[in-house]
Amino acid sequence: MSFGTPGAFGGGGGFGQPAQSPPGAFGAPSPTQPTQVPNPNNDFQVANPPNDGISSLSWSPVANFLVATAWDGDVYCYEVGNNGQAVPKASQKHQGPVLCSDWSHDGSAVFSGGCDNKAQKWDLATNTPTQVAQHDAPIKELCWIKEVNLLATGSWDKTLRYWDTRQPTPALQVQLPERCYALSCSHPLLVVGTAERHIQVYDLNNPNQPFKQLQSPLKYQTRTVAAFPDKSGYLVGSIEGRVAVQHVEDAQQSKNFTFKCHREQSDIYAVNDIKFHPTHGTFVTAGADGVFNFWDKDSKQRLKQMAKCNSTIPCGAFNRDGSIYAYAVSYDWSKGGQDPMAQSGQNNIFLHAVQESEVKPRPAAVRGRR
Amino acid sequence: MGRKKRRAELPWCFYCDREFDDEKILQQHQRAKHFKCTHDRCNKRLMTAPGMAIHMLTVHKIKVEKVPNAIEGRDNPEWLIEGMNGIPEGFDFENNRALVDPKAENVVVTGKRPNLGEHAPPGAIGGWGAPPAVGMGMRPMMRPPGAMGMPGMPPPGFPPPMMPPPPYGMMPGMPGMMPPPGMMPGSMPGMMPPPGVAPAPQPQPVAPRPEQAPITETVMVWDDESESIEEKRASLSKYSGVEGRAAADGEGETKDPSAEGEEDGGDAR
Repeated sequence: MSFGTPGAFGGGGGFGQPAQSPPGAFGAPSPTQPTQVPNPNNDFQVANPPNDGISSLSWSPVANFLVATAWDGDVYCYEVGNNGQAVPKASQKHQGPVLCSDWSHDGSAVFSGGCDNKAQKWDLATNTPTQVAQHDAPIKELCWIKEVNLLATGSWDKTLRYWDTRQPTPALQVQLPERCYALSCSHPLLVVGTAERHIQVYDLNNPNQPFKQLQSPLKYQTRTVAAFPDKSGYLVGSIEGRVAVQHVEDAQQSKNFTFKCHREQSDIYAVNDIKFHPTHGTFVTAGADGVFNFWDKDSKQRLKQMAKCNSTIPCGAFNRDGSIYAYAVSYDWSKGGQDPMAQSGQNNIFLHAVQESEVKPRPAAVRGRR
Repeated sequence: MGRKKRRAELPWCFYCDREFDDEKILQQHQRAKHFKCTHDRCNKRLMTAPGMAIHMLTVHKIKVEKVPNAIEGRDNPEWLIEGMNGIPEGFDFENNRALVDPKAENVVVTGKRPNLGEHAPPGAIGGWGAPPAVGMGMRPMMRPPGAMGMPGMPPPGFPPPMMPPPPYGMMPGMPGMMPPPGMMPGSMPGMMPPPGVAPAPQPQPVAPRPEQAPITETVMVWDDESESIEEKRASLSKYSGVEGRAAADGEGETKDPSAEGEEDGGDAR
């Protein structure tokens, strides 16, 4: 691994490590204590981050453009260069906290939704926002489904709605058993996690009826879901530092399992976000403990645990080729408003140059490694 | 007690009393649970507890006092145990005490548990320091899927693959249960009951168990099942009053990105 110097990395979507990067993962003693190092993993820091809690991050599917949404209603778009520097390009505003974002498949527009009960489409070429969806309560999740050219929005009004973006009324509305907390789509599989631990699995070939309805395999509130890229199942993350690996087909139920993560001694933190790597099929979890971990579900291994950040990690996202993992270090409110983290008001976005070793699946057995 | 009721002679883990279908899986388990370097970034899996102790001492300068995740009294890192081999002869499974000095040449390759109370040489000293209460007697309770996490767990990681379910019905007595007060590990040798009488006929210390409840020590940082973090946050006056918020924002917070953004928007594709 060479050390990054600005501009030295042409080609590919990725970039090198920041110059002060530690030479190896295992040698150096890790800062596990609650040290107040703002950037313990020596990742690239995005300049001009949002001014309030960061609620979502999403990458353009065609270029290294990163969108961040924030609780103060802002939607920012950054361009990330090969040297790891992010340049703010544009921003938009909602009339309330923004909770979710996604890109259109051609990278021409950004969708965002939030507490103003609306979703808007931000056409980047003209820099104009248009309202494309309306709910009766805040929109917690949204997702652009390119295969059907529809925007799916999940809301606390207990509905899931599909929008054609040119019509003021939804193309389809589906009732959910509870408030939508999490949504993930890997066409034709769409998974919704709601309050009261309901999981709704949809086959988008027949989106009217849930393909499956079940209670979360986890005992506590669902926080995030992530559909497998191969569509055979999904991950569920809960507030109780635990992730379930679930398969859709009954024949594969025996392969289901759960594992614990994002815990520190007696404290159990929420799993805030799970994202699959776009090519390797491994995934990353980000937690309210300020840690993000890379995992391989097939070999049941943790590939890498990163050093603890000085605040929670509410969200993260891989860029299109998986060479960059962007993550927000920003208070997620999991300890309420009295916590020092709430007062500090630090909201940062870091760009982690993903190493092959962190995301490449590993063979299951680790025998003979002495 | 549970010990005796064990039917088949399945391989079992000396450190935590779990049974396994075959010895290979047992060894995998031991490497993952008991012989894994506890340094958080290392996680190297060694073959034996002394091997782990040496590794951690030489590489990380950490002195291993106890085998991780082991039942109290069975956590001596000096014992060279691999799978079913090397279990100290005459180990008192009832009270988790070695009945003879583990350093003496008594380490016998054995897969059998000695009959309890068989031999209890005088001067036997059990326990190596008192490990924290967590981890004690907790193995049986860890299984329900989705249960609260326990302290004393290994660093987060997947469970070793292919483990058979633990023998629920076989652990009624909770391995690692508190022995009677007089036999507390680490208590003075003089207080030991006379040899021979030692362990078996004292099944009463069940009473004090509920008090230990170390489970409550874990704290879920967010435990409100009725509402998500975002719902709670969105209900704050700061965010719920759209009017007030917009006004506050209008008060001259000019943000660089937005300032630049308006003109450059066209490039951002």
